[in-house]
Amino acid sequence: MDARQYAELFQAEAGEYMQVLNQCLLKLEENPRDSEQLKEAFRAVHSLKGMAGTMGYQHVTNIAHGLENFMEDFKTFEWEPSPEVIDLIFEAVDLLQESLEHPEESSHEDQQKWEKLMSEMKKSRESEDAETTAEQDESEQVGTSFQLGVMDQEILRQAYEREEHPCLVHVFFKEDVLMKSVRIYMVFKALEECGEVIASVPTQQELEEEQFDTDFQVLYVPQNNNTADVQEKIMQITDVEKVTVSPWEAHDLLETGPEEDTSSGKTAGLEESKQMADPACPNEESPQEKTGDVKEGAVTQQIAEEPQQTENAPKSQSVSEEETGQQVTRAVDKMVRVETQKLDDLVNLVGEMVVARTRITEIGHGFNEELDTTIDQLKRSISNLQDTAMELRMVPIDQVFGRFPRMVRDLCREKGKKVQLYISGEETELDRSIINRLSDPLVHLLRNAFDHGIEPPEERVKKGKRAEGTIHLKACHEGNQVVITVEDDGGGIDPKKVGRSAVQKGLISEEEFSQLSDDDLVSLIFFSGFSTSDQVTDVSGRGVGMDAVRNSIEALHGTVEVSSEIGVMTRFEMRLPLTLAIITTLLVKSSNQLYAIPVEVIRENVYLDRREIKTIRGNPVVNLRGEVIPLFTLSSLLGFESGGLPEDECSVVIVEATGRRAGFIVDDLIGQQEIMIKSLGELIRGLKGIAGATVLGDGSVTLIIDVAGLLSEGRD
Amino acid sequence: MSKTVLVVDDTAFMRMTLKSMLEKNGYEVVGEGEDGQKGVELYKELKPSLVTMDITMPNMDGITAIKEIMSFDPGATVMVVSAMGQKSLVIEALNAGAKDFVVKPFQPDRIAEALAKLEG
Repeated sequence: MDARQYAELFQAEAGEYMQVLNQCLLKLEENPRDSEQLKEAFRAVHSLKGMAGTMGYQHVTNIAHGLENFMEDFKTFEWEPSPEVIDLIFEAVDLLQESLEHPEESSHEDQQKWEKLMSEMKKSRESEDAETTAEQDESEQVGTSFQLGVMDQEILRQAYEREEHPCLVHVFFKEDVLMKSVRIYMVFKALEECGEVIASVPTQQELEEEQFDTDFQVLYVPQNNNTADVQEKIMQITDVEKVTVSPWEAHDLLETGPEEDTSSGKTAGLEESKQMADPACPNEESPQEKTGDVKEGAVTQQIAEEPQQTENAPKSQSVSEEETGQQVTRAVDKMVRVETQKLDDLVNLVGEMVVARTRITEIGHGFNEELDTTIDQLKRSISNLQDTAMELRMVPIDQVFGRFPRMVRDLCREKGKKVQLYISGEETELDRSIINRLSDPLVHLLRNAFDHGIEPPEERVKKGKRAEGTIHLKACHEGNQVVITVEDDGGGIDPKKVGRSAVQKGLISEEEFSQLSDDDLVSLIFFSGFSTSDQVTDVSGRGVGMDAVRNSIEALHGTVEVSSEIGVMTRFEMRLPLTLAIITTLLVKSSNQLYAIPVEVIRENVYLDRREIKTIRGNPVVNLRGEVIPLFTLSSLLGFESGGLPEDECSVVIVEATGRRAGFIVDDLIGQQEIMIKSLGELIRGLKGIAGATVLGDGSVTLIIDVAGLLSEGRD
Repeated sequence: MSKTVLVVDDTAFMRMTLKSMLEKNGYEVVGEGEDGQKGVELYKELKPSLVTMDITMPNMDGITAIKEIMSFDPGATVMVVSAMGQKSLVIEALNAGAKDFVVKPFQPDRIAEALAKLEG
């Protein structure tokens, strides 16, 4: 089937299952007795397998299937998984994750990795259930002729007396039959509904263990010799290719008859397993009731087969337990899945309505009283609609936080450090476009905290701290911002060390070093090309870290700050807007054109006298409270018009981004306004210095300034 | 009689693929349930000519749902949709009254065949 169109939905849902899986395993690791977690994890794997199979993702399906098998016994028998077992499961989950990243192809290497893990899992399982499998190795040879016990012969004899003739039913399954044993079960059930099964080749037990190819024969006594009925009934079962019914010669009976002692046991087992598989089947009894002594026979068989039954007993028990487990866990989620594109479209449309609303208010005002009230109503509804549309885009930050416990756990294992991660505020909601881009910077900060922040256990103990370090990851709303903090109780950042290193690298001068406050020095870590770590590890410390973090947060119209106390803690605080779709901007006018500057990059607005503007090598600058700030005429910086410096006084917007400050000379400050960002469209996308455009209430189009882009442009 | 079907599965993905396959076979998907409980409710409301039922689902599993549907309507036609390795559960579902089962991942022609046999 062509499942490509569902690939996106598959990935989204698979991602959720992977998250569930990881969470369950982490909880299980903490408390191996918590079988609910194992069951939940099992269900997640199971669902993944089904989905992947339908998509035709062979490798993903294989891994999920293998993992499911591995977990099944632990789930069924409520065995407590050892730490080694949980590790193996984690490893398999990782391979599963990898395979999901490129589900359509799997390299030879992937296969080998999986096979290696499979054999490890097999080994571990063999040691786990060595006792339980010990008994099962008896039934190896597949029989070629019917083995009939005394009772079978008796049934046959009585059938002859009733003039019912035994026959040989030969059933052929299709080559690609799935779950043969269940089909077998269906065939036997159908047979028993209209006659009596005497024996089969292979035996019913062998059949149920799927120790056969695609066909088997049953010695059968149809009720009232109605063979056509039987044939039709069996043909109706899916995956049955062909059924032949032929008369059976009674003399065969005598050939196999004498071997009473051994064979009766075997056939009895056959009868027994049938009853066990189908305890409630009423047809099982009806033919037997015709003869009194058969019942007695059945009782003796049951006694003879006692050990086998107890062996099977836990299985049926586990089924009912699974049922109840399912009812307890996982609350109903009343959710609808919608493509994000549709949400974006909706928000966009609502944005247009907001603009039209403003226009219509202006046009219609005072025209007619009735019109005014209607417009008022419309305004309210549109505002509500806007709020609702924005809410639709909000998702809990848990989507990002959720993977961190696993990450920290793995790091602990790998690096031999003890770190406990505490997460709070994971229900805080943010625009999904922001959430998606938060992951990388957060990973970076966490790894940094783990690697450079938290000291090795021995060192911590020496300092009188607990050997186990802690990292707090927090999110909360503050006004219309989301604040995310990453705080560790590690060694802190030494401002002097940072400063000295910055001087060495030429980032600041010796003089600046002596003037800067400790906080400012620590903030130098956000400069590009900076790293204080002496050794480079594979997780962090390559010196590209913190400026990358700052850049990605600023790209989200957010800010990031660091504070630290030597020997006690380091805290990174990020402030992000709730949504990227609507931002607060300052509208300014330059060369008769309106521009919108996002307020979070604006440090201050100043009114400058012409005389305060100096030039350094021909470039205008201003000395603002001891800091020299370069000045640019906004429109010429954008390349529109090289308007010279103003005659007398001018407004200057001081902005800061990517660690640089600058002043934009503008003609006029219009005021603050919330605007809805619209993309510029394919043709001029990625224009440097322009973040997008918006439509103002009067219908005019305004460009939104991308300050970070402009400043890096100006630097080149 | 128009062939109506109710699809019960906890993953939206399976519901979608099943739906498209069933529709190709001339069925009209009149309802979709994401768990057993919902499946039973929808059955009572819609009385479809066929139900496809997943086994492992939250709230109420497929087997319990089949039992409830059968006790409401002994003539109901329920087809179990199961993954590999659920032998004992499939058997239980058959005992509960399911008429047939298909194994995930399924091929379109398998579904078609199972449907044809159910109708026959």
